[in-house]
Amino acid sequence: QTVTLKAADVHPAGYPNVVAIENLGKKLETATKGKIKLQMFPGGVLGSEKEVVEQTQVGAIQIARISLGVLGPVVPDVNVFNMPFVFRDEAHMRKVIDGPIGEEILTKITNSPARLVALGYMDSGSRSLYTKKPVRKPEDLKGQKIRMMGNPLFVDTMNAMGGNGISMGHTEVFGALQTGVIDGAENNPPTLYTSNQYTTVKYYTQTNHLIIPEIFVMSKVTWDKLSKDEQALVKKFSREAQMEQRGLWDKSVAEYTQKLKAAGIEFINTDTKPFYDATAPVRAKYGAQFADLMKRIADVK
Amino acid sequence: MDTFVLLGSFFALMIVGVPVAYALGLAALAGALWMELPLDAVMIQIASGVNKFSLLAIPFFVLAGAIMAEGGMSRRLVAFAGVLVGFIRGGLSLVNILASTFFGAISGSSVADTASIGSVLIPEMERKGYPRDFATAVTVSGSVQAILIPPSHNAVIYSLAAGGGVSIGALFMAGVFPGLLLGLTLAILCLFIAKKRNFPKGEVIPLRQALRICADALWGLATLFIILGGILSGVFTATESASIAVVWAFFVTMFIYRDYKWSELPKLVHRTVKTVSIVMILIGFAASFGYIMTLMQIPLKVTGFFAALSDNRYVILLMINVLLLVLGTLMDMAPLILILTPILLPLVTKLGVDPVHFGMIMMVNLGIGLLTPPVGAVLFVGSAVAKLKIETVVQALYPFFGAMLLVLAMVTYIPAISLWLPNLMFK
Amino acid sequence: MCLVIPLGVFARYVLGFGAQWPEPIAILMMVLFTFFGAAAAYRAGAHIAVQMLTDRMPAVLRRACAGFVHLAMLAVSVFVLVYGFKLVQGTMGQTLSELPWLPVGITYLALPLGSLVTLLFVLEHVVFGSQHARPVCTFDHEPGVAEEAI
Ligand code: NA
Ligand code: NA
Repeated sequence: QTVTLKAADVHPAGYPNVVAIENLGKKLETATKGKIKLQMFPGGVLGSEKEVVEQTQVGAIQIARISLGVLGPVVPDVNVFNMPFVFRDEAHMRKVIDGPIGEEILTKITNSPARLVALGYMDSGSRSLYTKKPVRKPEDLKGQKIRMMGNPLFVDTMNAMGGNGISMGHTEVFGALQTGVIDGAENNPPTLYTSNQYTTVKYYTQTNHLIIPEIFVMSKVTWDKLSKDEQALVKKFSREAQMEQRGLWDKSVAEYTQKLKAAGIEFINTDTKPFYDATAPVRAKYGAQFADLMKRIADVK
Repeated sequence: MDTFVLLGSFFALMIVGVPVAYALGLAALAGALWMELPLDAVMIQIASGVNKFSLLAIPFFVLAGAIMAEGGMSRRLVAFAGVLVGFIRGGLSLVNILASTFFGAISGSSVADTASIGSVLIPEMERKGYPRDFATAVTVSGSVQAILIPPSHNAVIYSLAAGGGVSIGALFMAGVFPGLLLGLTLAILCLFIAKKRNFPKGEVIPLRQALRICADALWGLATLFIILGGILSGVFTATESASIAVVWAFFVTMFIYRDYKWSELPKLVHRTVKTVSIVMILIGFAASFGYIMTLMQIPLKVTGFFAALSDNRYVILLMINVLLLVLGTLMDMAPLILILTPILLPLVTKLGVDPVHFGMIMMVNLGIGLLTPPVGAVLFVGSAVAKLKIETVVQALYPFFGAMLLVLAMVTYIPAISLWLPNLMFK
Repeated sequence: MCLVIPLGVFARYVLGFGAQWPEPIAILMMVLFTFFGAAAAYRAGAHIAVQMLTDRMPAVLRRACAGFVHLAMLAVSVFVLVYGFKLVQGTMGQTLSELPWLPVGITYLALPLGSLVTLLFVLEHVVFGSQHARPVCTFDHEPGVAEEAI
């Protein structure tokens, strides 16, 4: 009997994360001689991430690529990745998630009551500011309304960085930028381009204030139905997918950075130290419970 | 086979008379059982289907429209339209259409439009020598403007069914010209018929009185400026502007017009809650149905089917229009938007049709469906208000159907009618 | 609900801060109205349904269809009641990110409860016959002005 794994991603077809999971599926199909197949549902056709997670928990969807934020309530440790400037840069982040800390967190998720098996990480780059007026230092953000993801931590981060954090859904951002409800937002270059939001702003300030990896998970219901060998195969190909996605991601960032520059977006390379210092109270307030973990992350060279 | 289980059970349930919303839910359950999905999956989609901020715009727009319509606004809009076009030959039919244009700017409900304007103008038109079936046909066809001219909760439903990627503000702006075009086309038809059948002229209203009528009506028409102004200037989101419109409608009706009894309010709210919950429950169950449909990859199959027939955008749009018109005779607007948008939108966007433009095609098309037998909410209400047989009204409607199909063709094949204004505002 | 959102706007523009609570509270109320309102709408026979075929059927067949509709309504209501409660239980442990004191389960509670009411109305319909003509339901069906449907 063949098994079809339904995989969901809110990212569109062709996106690095989607391609990496599709390739994972192809490898599984070859290795199991067609017993396990994978069917990809990209572009959020199966609903928002929250819905997708719930559907994965009950076993209606088998593989989901999700952001770590959704798991915060069940595995508090993942919130450490949400701390502003917790990683020095992307290379640092990759070292951490590839190493023992990353493995430890995956295991924690798998062993949590979330009914999900954590398979691996995906890179979603680093989030930087884009605005209508140039921003070089925290003072430049004064009075600017910047959209942040809906979590008090992120809103506080923006407030500490000097601006006014406003939380709203991703789909509303474009309209809000156009109409001037907000003065800017923050995300990675590929998203800035593909969401069309780049048409409403002029500057991209590389603060890299948030570097939050994503993960992909399998429904525990499905996992338990697989044989030991099959589980081992899934694990192996997942690790490969994690590495493959990274290469695709770097290519995509380079490509979209080029496109943004061609479209007239000015990239501002700024000293992130003042922003790092300004957000120290945020890390102190929200990060107290994983001070040890943050220390261990900082110690990864 | 997947497709057959899902759609087959839906049609079977619907035909024996199960309310459409519940038929969608049950069909989703049947589909889930067939695919061996956990039933929790269906439940999750129903729950998250109604748990959306953007949905709040629907109750607000319906309530604002209801307060305005029942609180004496429609009478004032009729008077206002009378000042502007009443003196022309066939004037009262033009008054009827123009009043619907104005009504459309405060409400998105064609049924409410027909009920409130029809009950004022059908008797009035008959008294002045217009045949009652003609008066009814003018009323019901004019009322379709309410769906197109902003605000329109059907546009909100479309935006939702399109996956939230189509902005409500853009859809609202896109509806302005199709709405006006429909009004204009119907008005020209009426002028033509009036001349041929020698319908009476009205009187010119004295300036003083005219000014008072205008001032009176402007309080209500200001709703449109609050809604559009709020959205366009970015002061509020669509949902917020809808809620502000409720507060405004309440203020104007209770404190400016003061001809609505406070004791009537609970009834009005009760009625609105019922109307809204009928739509919302439909949205919830349609979400689960759409989810199962996606898992079965039905949209992909439909796209493949149409692609095999033709790769010409105009041919495909023609086929979709015919399909929508046929389904529109049988089913109501909201369920059709909810069921068909996820299937058809990927197909037409692939052919380069703008999602906003496609939304307008759907609105005009399904708006016509509100007037066509056997199932047409506006037709039913219009006939009831006029106390005419449905067949009689349908017969009087033939020339109007012609005019509306012409508008549909123009909206379908001239994207600029829909897209010029939103592009101007948003690009 | 109609006051909550304008209050949020007021807070943002006049008081100068974006309040977090109006959105989830308004959505909660909307879901509440939806599922209890749908039950009431069932009782009043106001749901959108296709009756052109059943209206033309002989009485026996029409009765059979009506019985089937009751069964279908019972099935959906029982489903939402049971699985809705399951969903409520499953999400009681999570809280809304905007309102940390409000369990997600509470926001879903209206689904099973509203369905319970629908279920009772369906049983009432089966046992006592249609309630469409009850005075409490008809006061808004004034002659001439029809249901302000979609
Ligand atoms: Na309207
Ligand atoms: Na129809």
